[in-house]
Amino acid sequence: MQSMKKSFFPLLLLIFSSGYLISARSLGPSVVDGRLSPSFFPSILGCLGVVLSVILVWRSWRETQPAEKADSTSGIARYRVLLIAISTALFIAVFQQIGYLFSATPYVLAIILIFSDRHALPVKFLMALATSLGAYLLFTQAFNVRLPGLWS
Amino acid sequence: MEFVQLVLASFSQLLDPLTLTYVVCGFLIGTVFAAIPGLTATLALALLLPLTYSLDVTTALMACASIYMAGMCGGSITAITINIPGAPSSMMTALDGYPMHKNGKGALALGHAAIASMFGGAVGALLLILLAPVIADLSLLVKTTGKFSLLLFAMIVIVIAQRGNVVKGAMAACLGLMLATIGLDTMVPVTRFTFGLADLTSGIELMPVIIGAFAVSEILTQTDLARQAQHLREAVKTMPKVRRRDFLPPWSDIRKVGFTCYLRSSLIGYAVGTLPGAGGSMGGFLAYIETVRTSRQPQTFGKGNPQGIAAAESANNAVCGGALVPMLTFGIPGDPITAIVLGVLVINGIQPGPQLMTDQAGLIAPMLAALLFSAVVLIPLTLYLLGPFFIRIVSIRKDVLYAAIGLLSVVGSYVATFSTFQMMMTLAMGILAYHLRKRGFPVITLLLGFILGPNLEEFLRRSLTLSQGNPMTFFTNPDSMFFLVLTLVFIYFLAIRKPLAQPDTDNN
Repeated sequence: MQSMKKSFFPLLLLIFSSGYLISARSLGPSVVDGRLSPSFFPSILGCLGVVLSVILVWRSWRETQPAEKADSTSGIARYRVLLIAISTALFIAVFQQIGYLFSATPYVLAIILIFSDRHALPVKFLMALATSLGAYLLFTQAFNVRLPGLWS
Repeated sequence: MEFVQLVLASFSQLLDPLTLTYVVCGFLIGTVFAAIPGLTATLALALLLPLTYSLDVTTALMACASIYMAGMCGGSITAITINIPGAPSSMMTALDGYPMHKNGKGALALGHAAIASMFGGAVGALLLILLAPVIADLSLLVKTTGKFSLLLFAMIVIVIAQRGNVVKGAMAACLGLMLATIGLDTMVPVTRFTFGLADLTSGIELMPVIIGAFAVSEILTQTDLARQAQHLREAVKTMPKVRRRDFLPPWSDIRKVGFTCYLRSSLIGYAVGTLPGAGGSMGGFLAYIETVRTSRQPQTFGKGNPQGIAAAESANNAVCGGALVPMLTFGIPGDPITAIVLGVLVINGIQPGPQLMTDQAGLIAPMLAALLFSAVVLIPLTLYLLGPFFIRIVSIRKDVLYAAIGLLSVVGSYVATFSTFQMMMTLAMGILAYHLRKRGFPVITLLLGFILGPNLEEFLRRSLTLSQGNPMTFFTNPDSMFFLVLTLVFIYFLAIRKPLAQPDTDNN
């Protein structure tokens, strides 16, 4: 079980490399009329990736190190990583739809709350608002970059 | 010699208040952008590019030179204080700078970085002024096969430098190279690995990869250290007030780093900079590993050795001088910043090429004068005047800091690409880099694989096409052979030969 846990990431790399190699081969023959085709370099990379990931899988099976040490992330941290990834994806998804300020402030507040506790919420909201406004002014006023707004 | 006189005469242009204002403002903007993770001097320069239409071309080039120099040294601020390189060129600085900061010597680390940047920047600029015409002639000897062997040399050296972690380093580099193949083929109009997604046709932009790998992944990594971060904030409150003189390393420290370290790293940085496709990150990396290799105490590196900071910063600032050589002489940018400087020349109707240094010497000389001025005057002056504010960055609430980094990273990637898809790529790269880092894969090899990949493939295919598919072309061309032999030398020193015996300090 521990060995499987340790091998999960190398196996994922092996699957990715294999998929990449198959996709590279599907681009066509590596040499056409004596000239190297677009599949040549990716085919080499795919082979290299498969060989390296096989070595990593083999090593992970041989290792005697406990799985807990190999993946030392705590449950809370894993939960936080997931929350940050979801928050960021949501922010990106609505960024152009609802505009910068309405998407940035909740995003900043979400990250602040992920990294802290839920005490002093009004203060944290004000900090989120100030951070969003500060970044808005930096981009739009200091560097003249147009950010999406509701009216655009 | 005429060119040197022209550069010296160009210093008089800095006496013009308006020109000086542009140069100083350019330096400050470059420093701020380089210091903010997720933003780089490249982005600052790209954003300021439209302004050059309204500027005199000489002034615009001088401002570009100061932004370039600031971008190289400014990245060290956050690399040292929060372990997030503000610019890719400062990746190696973080290795020793951040441990020094954690040991309460952050101001000193910034001081070492500034002195090394000043030295490296000055050496790079002086060498550029003195040797540019000669180097341009020599660069003509490196043909397509040589360029491939050079890039291969760089990739191999980067991987084997991950001692004890070579397979993981190679896998990460391989992933970077794979990511670089996404999109339009470099030689024929064929799309690869796009899976029908139109957004992938132009490939993955460099900015999302850099921001994702170094900013987003850092925030994700910090989740495990959040509690420690809160303790650190409490500890910072008790940190003694930083005075301006804290930034000045004692003479004994500078002597300990050694003139040889500064000079050797500057020369490595300059030499790397002259090679098309190379950049500050590679210069800093090679100088760092060379310093570790030649050190009598290699075990102290990565734990707060000022020599590590000096090597990385001298080299990456010396790269500025070197990288301008291929750009000015062949129109081949050495890194993204020189690519934008190339754009400034082109939009002003100036064609870079072998004749530029003679026909347009009057335009180029002031830019080189500004580069030298930025290194010698603006770097130490900025640190001395603004240094106490730099160090305060660690006292910022970490929850707010990470939220701001996340915001600037995501919005920064939008500003750089104006694409929601590339913003998503930033997040995807961040998650990938986070998982790689967590399992001991070096992200630097992924990044360099991504950066060098397109050129590596192009030169390989061109070389083999020119030789009708005969791989012996890499062994029969002297320029290629030179880099292949150099690769073997590095493999011997870094992978085969045992590390130098460490001195037994207990007996001393």
